[in-house]
Amino acid sequence: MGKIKEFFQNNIYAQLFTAFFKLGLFTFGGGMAMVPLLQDKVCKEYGWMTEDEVVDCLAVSQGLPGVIAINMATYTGYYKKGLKGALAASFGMILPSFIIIILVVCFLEEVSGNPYVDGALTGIKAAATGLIAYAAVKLGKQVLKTTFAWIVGIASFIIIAVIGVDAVWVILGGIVIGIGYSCTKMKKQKQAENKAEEEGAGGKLS
Amino acid sequence: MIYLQLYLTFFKIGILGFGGGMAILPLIYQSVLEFTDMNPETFTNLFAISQATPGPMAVNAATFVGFQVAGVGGAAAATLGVACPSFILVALVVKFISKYHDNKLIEGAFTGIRPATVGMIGAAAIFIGQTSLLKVDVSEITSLAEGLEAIDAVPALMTVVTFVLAYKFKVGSIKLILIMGGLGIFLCSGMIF
Repeated sequence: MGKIKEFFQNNIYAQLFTAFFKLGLFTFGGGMAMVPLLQDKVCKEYGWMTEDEVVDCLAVSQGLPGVIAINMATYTGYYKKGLKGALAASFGMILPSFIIIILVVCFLEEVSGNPYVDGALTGIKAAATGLIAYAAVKLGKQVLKTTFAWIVGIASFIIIAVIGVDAVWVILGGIVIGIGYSCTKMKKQKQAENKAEEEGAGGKLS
Repeated sequence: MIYLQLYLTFFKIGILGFGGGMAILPLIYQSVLEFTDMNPETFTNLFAISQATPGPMAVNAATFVGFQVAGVGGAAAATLGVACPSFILVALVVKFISKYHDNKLIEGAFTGIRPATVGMIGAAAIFIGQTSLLKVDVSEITSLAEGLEAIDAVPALMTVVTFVLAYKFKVGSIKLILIMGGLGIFLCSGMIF
């Protein structure tokens, strides 16, 4: 037993597998509900990514087609340890679902409509709501440092939550606006530099 | 061969399932009916179970359908099918991003994506809150007053407590989920209220 425990603590692939197994086990309500847990595990517990790198992981996972949770697992695993890491993390992510669903189908009669099961689920969803709100606040503090970032952040929230546009479009829009913003900023900088150079040269001439 | 059919069907669902979750259930319904007859009741169960169990909904749904159609082997085929597109695509993208990490265009793209992600997660909190904290369906609510009245007090309070415990006291997410799930058995099952 000691050896097995040691293996799981020291082997990076075993760590990736276990971390995402736990995420799969405790995420109710899909993709975004996983964000607070992902931050806990990946930044705090294992230090595989910085908080900023996790934001990039979320953006890529949401922006690409496919199952968001598996996108996140593959991203983290690949980022940390290449293809094998991605396999370990994704398998960890899938396995709890696989086992639990088969068990539930076998024991469906006993579980369905049980008030205590429903009560537990209501409590879990309430916790998930609070945790996601916390994740949004925490990420906001870290990412929203410029006026540009605030405008994009608030606009995205309104476009998704109020108008009801699919989040994928917002991510794609973010790419376009981000590139546009960075390019104009660079152009301005260059112009300012050129101007400063010209003035400097002019100063020398006179 | 049924396993290959399941794998390919769910592979297709994995690619098309942009945005995940609820969006893919109708897609699953249509695709599966093409090669097997499942009664509508099974699909109602599929919906309820995929939501009520932990893990990504798409994976839950794939395992469920695969298992119903062809046992454990079918479940494995469908689940691998739904996971493969994600895996391949993300691995390629991460490889690309780490290679061109310092590229100005990619850097620029991320200055736009990062704040958009914050807004997106804020919106996710609203969506999940709608399904767990309201007594009626959100589509039936027409005014702010009605919305406030529809809030279920006990889960709403649990949401606030979770937020405070996470934010102020740095309690871990898994711990909080276990605590609130346990409290829910007593507070949200009709036993007391």
